[in-house]
Amino acid sequence: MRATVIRLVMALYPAPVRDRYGAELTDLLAHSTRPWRDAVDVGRCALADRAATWTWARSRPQLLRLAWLAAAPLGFGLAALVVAVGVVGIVTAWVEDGGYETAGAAPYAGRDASAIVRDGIAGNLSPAVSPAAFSVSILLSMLAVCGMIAALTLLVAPRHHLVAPVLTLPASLTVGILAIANLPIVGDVLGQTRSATVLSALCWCAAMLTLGVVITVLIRQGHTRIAVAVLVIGGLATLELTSALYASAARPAAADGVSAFSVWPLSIGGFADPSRISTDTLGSLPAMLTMCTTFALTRVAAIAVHQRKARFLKSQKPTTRSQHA
Amino acid sequence: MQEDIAALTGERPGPGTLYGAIRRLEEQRLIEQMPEQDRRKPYRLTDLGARALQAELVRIRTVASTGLRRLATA
Repeated sequence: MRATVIRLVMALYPAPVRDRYGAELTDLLAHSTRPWRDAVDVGRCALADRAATWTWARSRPQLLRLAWLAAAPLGFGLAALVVAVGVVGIVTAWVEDGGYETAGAAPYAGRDASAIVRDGIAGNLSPAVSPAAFSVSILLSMLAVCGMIAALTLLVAPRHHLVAPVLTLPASLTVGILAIANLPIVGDVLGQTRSATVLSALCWCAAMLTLGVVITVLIRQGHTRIAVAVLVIGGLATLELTSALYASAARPAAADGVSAFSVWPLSIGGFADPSRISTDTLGSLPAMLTMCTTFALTRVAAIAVHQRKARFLKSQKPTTRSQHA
Repeated sequence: MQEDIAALTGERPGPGTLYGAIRRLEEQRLIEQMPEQDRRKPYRLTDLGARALQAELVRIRTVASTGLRRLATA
């Protein structure tokens, strides 16, 4: 616990000061008889140092990265939409070929897949395209996008330095989600009740922060398997919690007869019975939070693994040098 | 160093405050770090630092003696 607090307050110092005095300050904090008071003193002085050395030119790369992170939810949403249009297009072509025709002639013949997605989201889907086929298409699209996000994040994440990723990552993504929620038309697609969207997004941010800290600590201590288990179980629990919270906040009466644990898995593919859970009001928020959760937890875990490897290599260097000597 | 300052001034500086002062003094070349001894990292006054300290102590003595003299005549 004390080591974590020391690491956190030391991370507040500008890098040159940390490199020069970090070891001495850490040593003093580690052997302090008044650890909390000294940690507050170090944190206060670190922030004062950072404020004194702050320049726009030096901060611009970090601020740009945070801006990109805030824009990421919009990118995820667009990517999911493009993939969904593609998958629904394939399903439609299959229906038109007679593979899954439920009634009458194909009304979507000659129309683009985006019209079907639009009708599907609005709940006006033609009987020629089964709601189940539409739901499966949307679910598959989202899973595909989540897979792509995870793969790209693992590939790219360690290359880009991010200050305090455990904190800045969920905070930036939440800013992005809240910004989308406040857009005129797109906000309604995300979730119809704005206050419930804000509550759900803030709860998601707090959960991601907590999970990020736990996963980082576990990976640093070498408990990678437990970290992966926490990542999966914690991620799913967060999505359940935030979706149930949204449903409760948006329609308290409708959520009464429904198990809180059924909201996310049902709503994510649009499987739920609207009269019982009212997934209409949920909009695409569960899907958006699923993609953001995949991104945030994968990136935090990748950074923690990268830092652990770097620390291991650093600790090996003096040994190698002494062996050569 | 923290305990020494506490004994002298009655107030123990925190590590952040102490190293903030050390950093500023080093930047002004008033002190310099000596080779590490065991786990201790000692610092010493430079010639410039000794002259600056001498001037500051003289200034403090002048202020203190003037203040005490005026207080006695008041």
